[in-house]
Amino acid sequence: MPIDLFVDLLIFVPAIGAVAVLLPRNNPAAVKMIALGTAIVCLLLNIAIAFDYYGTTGSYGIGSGSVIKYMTDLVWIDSVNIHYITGVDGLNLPLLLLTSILNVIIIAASWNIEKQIKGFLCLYLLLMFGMYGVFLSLDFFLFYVFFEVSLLPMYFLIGIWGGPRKEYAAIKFFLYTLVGSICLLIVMLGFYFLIPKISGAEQAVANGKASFNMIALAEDGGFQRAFGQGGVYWTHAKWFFMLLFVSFAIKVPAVPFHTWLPDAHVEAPTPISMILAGVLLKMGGYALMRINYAIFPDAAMWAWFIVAMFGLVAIIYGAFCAMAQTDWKKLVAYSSVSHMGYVILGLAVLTTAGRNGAYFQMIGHGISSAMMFYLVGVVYERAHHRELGRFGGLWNTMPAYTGLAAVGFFAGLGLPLLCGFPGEALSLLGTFKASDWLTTAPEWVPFAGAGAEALVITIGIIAATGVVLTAGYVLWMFQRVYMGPAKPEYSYSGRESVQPREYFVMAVLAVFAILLGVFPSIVFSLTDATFGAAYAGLGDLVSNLASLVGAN
Amino acid sequence: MGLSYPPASEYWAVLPEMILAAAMCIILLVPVLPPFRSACRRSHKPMLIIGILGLLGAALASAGMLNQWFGTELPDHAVLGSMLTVDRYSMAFKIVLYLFSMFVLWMWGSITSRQTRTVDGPDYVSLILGAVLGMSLMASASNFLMIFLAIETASFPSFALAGFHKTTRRGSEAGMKYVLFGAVSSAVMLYGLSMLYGVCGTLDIPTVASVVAEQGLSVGVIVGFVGLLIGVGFKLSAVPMHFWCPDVFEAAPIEVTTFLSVASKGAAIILLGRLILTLGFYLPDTAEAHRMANGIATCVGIVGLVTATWGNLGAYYQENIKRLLAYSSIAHAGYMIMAAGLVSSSLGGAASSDVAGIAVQEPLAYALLFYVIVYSFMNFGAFTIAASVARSTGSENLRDYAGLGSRQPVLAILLGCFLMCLFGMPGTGGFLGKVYLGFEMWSAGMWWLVAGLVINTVFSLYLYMKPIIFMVFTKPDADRPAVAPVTVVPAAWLLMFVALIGILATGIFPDQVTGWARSNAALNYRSRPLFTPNDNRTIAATMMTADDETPADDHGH
Repeated sequence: MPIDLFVDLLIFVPAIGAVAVLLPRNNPAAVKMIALGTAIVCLLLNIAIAFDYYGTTGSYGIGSGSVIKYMTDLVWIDSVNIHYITGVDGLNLPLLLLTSILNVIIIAASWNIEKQIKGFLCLYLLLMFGMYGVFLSLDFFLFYVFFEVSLLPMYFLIGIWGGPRKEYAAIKFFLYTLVGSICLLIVMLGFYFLIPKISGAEQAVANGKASFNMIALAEDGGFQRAFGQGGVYWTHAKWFFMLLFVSFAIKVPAVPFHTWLPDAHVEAPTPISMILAGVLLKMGGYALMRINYAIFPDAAMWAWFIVAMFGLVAIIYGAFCAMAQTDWKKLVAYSSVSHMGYVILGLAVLTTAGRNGAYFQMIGHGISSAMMFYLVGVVYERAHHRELGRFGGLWNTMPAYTGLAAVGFFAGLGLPLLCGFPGEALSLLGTFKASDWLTTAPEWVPFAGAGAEALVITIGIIAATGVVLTAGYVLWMFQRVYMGPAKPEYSYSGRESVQPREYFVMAVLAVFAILLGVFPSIVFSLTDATFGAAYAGLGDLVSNLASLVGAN
Repeated sequence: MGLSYPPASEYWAVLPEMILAAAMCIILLVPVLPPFRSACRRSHKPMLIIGILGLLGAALASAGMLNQWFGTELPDHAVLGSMLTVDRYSMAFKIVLYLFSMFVLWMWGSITSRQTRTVDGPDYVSLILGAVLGMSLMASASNFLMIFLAIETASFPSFALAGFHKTTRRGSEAGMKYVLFGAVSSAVMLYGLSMLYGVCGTLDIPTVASVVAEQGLSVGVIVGFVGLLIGVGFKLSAVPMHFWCPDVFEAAPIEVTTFLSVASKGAAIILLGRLILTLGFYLPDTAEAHRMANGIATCVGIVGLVTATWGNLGAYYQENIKRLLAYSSIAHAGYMIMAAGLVSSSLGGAASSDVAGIAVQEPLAYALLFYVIVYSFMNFGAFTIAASVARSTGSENLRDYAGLGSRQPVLAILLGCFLMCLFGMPGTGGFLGKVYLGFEMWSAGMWWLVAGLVINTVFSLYLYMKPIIFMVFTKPDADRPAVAPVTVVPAAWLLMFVALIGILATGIFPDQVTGWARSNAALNYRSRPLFTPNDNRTIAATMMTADDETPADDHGH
């Protein structure tokens, strides 16, 4: 079973690479090659997994005939019944591919770092280890461990290679995420004590102890009854849902938990901003889908309005903040807050379209935000400032770069046929469609009934203004930086001109931005079966995606 | 009131303590004997070796008794006039204590400067052994009088050790402070014990527990318990008895700090755990008893919570690594105290088992034992590194750790690992230790203690990141004199390696250690007092021993 092995290799190859980069002495080139080689190996493994997985259908469960393939289940800590469980399904595979692609690009983007390149790449590979672990682990406890493991390297990457206020930004990032993982821990304690008391929970209980298998919890009828509406632990389920939501909303980040993000982005070096926006924020969205929405479907229905409000506020508030920025990188950082708002909104409304939109937004934003941060980084490295007011006329002095920049920023803007559009459009569409299930929903769901239609239309319209605001701040920024008469201080030639390596990074990202914009079904073909199986019975039951995708 | 002597067969139960006492005598006698006098002047090695062998022998004897290598079971009741309970719980802690103290001696022998080692070698080793003796009695004590004696036995050598830098003003001050605090809290404890004796007519812990179970909490009992808690709390540096801790830890030699931070607090928490579990065991499983249990758990829990919070927040402004770790040890003691008050975890044990007194498995004891094991590894690691840095640079100031990340990367990474373990990062034993404590709090229904534990974990982040920030981010101060490069002796590497294995073994593959701790978390509650009280208030005690088939002269009248 080579593919089974590939899944676990994907986690441990970066860890091995992290040790391997420490070995060469005074040989930066070798260190970089080892890191790049590790990332490429991971990408190849991941592509092999994707091709093998393609077309899998089934139910969302642990047995055979499941959408989850290549499951490894080993006992790790027996006394608390913690297992090492990994597996691949439509929920994590596209994000894994995104991670693998970005890793290669980001290591290429960090090629010219001179300060302690060995330490940088070692920490980066450890971060990769954590990211793959988060996406692949199907045991709640294992997930938690990787969630924390990915924290430390990030802390040092910001803290050592960052800008002037790096220490402040690094500890703020650490503290915020730590508060989130503490919430996770409380839910785990709750699971440990409550699950064994549930009668009729077969998969969720092993040898009288709670199982932390996230798939078993989602599948187990006894567990679902107990934690569902009217069940014995219905109150607990609501608490757990909110605790988990806070934990992941910090990571996403949703307003008001977002304040770590602008600081972290502004201080982080360019490659780290790219991975932070490109992958680490998606951990939050992914975890919401894997844990909140798959394990607590009833609580998700109960909480739909609160969660939707978090999404809505993030979209609008993030966009206004972005508009107010004079620091270019901070603008891009706030645009992330705004864009990730669509992920939360799309998930909250519990429609197939919304869910697909949220998921696609994560992938699309992974590409576009990484590209935007790189575009800022390329100029910052030469101009040594990021003040929007001082730029101008880059189109004249750096025409090729500006062409690529247009792709990147317009993808962020959400222009059709670029990767930013399908996600936002589907999220909004899903919001409008929420009235389908809300009008017939049971009365314990907030705002269920006839009035739901007016409410979701209002939410949808407010959210849609976010698209306009986004266009506003992106175009205004584009005008201030790229348009206007050429300024001689931004004219670079010789060694200062944009290097082929930098063009490569931008071009690859631009290709993916266009590819995903034109063929969004690349993502949906992988996720469709899993979403249908995992969220059956949650919100509307439309699973005919072809019509939705065709609507673009 | 009558008195008789315990049968000789009971003396073997204190074999480890006897080995320690013998080693102490040898250490004190050998240097004055003419044949050895000059050898002992030249080197500290003979004393060190005797000390290490003594501790190792005691650890082996404990392990042997635990695993029946000598063909005899552990006694099924408290021995030597019901003064000491030699059960799996106390033996397991003693093994940890002896091995830990052995490593402390080793650390002293290899890292401390030569001058102090040679001149004060015998004093130092014998004082450590004396304190260990007291602590191991604390873990076994089954009588309030024994608790008092054990705490004093542990304290007096500790006072001397704390002031071991006797030529410096700070050292003397620390020793003095420790003595004063210790004396006051001992006095209060003694007062509390006299109240207990007045109410219950006995100082035998199981008997007192059964009297309390029968009569409920009277004012005298409450005053007695509070006094007792002050005495134990002093050893644990629980707020408000914590003031000595940072000052003593800062001024004492670094190995003494290591020793006090783990051994003394570990013994006190094991003692507190036994007290609380015994009380719970004899309480009946009634609503009233549950209320009483909750009340005690709440009071002790609040003390623990305040202690942990104080430790974590107080550390923010510390710039000395020993002070920082002192606050950290206050916080860790706080976590353990929070769990150690959960009377309800053993509630109703006596009523539910017909043979009261056969070793009872207690999950709370398991959580405490595991925490003490993990805590000894991680604290030992962190202090070994602090000692190594201090040996080379002569400084314990965090500012002199600036740039250590690039000068000594391996050392910096190791210190980072130990600090993250102390913080409770998943994948290290510190995390699992907290999780097990949290399990106990949750299952006792004390959800607010769980909340307090996790909030304190967040508070503690800065404490443990601070040295890392200095090592990795901070540039050496231009206006501070440059410090000598840090060189690490091979023995120190070895000790750090041991500690690292410890935190990884308890964190990544914990099943061996947790299995060991779980199987040894069994307490024995049966007592057989030699002194039988002359009033009729302790019917429970006579009931308990009524089914014994021991000769009547064991009970003398």
